[in-house]
Amino acid sequence: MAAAALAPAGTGSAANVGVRGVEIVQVIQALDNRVRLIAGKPTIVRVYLDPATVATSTLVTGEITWRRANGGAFYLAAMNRVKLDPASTPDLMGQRFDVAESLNFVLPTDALGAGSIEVRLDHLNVPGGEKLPLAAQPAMTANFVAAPVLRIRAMGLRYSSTNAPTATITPGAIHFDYLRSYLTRAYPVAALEWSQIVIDGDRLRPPFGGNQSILVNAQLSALRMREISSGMDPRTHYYGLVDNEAGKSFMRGSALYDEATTIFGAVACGPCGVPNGWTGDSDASFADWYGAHELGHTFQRRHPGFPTFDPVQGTGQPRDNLETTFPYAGGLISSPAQEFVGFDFGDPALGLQMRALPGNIHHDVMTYADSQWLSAYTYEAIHDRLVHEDAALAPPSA
Amino acid sequence: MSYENKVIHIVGSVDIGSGTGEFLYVNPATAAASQSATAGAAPPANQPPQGTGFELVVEAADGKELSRVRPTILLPSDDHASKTGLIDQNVSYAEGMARLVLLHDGKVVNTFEAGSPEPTVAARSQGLEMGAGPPGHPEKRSMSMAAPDEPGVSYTIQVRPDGEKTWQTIAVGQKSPKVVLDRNQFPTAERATVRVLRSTGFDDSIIAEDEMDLRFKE
Repeated sequence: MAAAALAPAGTGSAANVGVRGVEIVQVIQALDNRVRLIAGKPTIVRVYLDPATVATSTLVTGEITWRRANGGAFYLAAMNRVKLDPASTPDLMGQRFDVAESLNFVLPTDALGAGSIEVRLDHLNVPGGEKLPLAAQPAMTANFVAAPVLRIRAMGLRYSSTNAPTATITPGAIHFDYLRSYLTRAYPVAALEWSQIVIDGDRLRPPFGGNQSILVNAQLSALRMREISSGMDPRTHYYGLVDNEAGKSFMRGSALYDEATTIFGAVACGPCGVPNGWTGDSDASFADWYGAHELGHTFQRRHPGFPTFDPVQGTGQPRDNLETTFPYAGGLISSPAQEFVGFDFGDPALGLQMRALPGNIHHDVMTYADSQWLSAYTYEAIHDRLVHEDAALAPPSA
Repeated sequence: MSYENKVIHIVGSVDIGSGTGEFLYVNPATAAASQSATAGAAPPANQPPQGTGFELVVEAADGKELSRVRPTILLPSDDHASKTGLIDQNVSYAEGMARLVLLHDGKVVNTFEAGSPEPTVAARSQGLEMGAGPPGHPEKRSMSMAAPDEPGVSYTIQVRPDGEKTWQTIAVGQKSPKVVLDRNQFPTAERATVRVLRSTGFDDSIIAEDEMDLRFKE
């Protein structure tokens, strides 16, 4: 999306509040707003104000307008207020890294339809008080493109515990919920066609050997073929969740890869459980990013090779030889210049707060590194694959 | 069941280090279903990845070779040292196909013999029977039908909750038509249709289809 140039800080009269930048964000974005916006996906406009243009510490809020084509403007109030303080407000990077440091506007559903809208910062004001001086702001154009539906069939696979032979180990609902939420928040889609079920794992016997995920994927592949032959949409990707029995029975996940055609299949599986800080994750489940990684393979995403593989220790991630264009050092979601910053809308139902995801500590979901999110590179590539599959695999009646 | 442009979906595991392997699931499928795995793929290579050496031969009952393919062998994405691979291969249905033979470097590794095409009298005449669930699980019921263990025959059990169009598969490749039905698998449905497909590997038929009340009494 091409953004109109914004007034740099300090332009206009000395009394005007300066605007350092504006980002229109869904999952990850750059200051020039180059990352694709998906129609219907929750979207936030983040405005970064320049504290050097106010004389004293000031609470600020404001309104933007948005309009479609030649229609009238809708006024939209900020969801928050920011404290502009010449002495303590962080620099632009610090503002981008912290959702509380930007003035934020959540675009309404009506604004998110496919096509273009014009967005403009209309005014700033002290909460409940007077308007602050602001130079006339240029309009920005946000272009929303329609994206295919993401179709996921999540299959929980239960098994008999070897630690307590009478116990059946079943993935809890929380793991399905976390995976579903993460895919909705982080993948380049506005809609997720989701179904889930728990069934018996055919050859799921702990302690899990190195080939366990292959046997799980065998069952999933057979199931998928039966279901697609019985009317399931052939664009559906299947993902199996295997509970880790509180760490006692960990199954390493995998997708299926055909070296001859260099194509990944449409089924994958992985473990689920409580991370307890594993890979920097301290919430209630690691099924989210783990599943997003394995499903990323099913959308033809490869390992970029981070952390660097150590063949002696067997640690790190070997780089896929066909992954030659991953752009960011260290597997991060941005270049060192912090070109990109991630954004997670959160999920109130899971107690996950809205937050910005600094590109200097968050890693691409296809790495094995901590704190995972989708880089713009992976985001755009999954979108392209979804578009391809949507047309190539559409059932005759679709 | 009738399939438009029927293919046979073959799933098996192989050890590419030792040259061993086995068939895990063999079932008929629609050709449309088989497209999805390879959408966007490069044309299939004539040779498998170096070192695999597996071949899949389709034979008639008299041993006549009907077709031969280098099967697609899929490797796990996140286990770089794995010697275990997955055969995930579709072959065109051919009249008279009766056997699959997995070869490695020309030697027979495993054989799948198709089951008898006709359901036994017992399997034809029995409907699904619902029994008690496991102790302490009032939300579950066992579900089964009398059927002998027949070589080459496997069962798929599918459920279609009221108001839905698609069948959900709760078991595939089972040696006997027996499964535990958990009403919590279909939380929004009060009733569902349950069916059992008997597969010989190359053909299948619906041998039971019953409507079930999912409102189990606790």
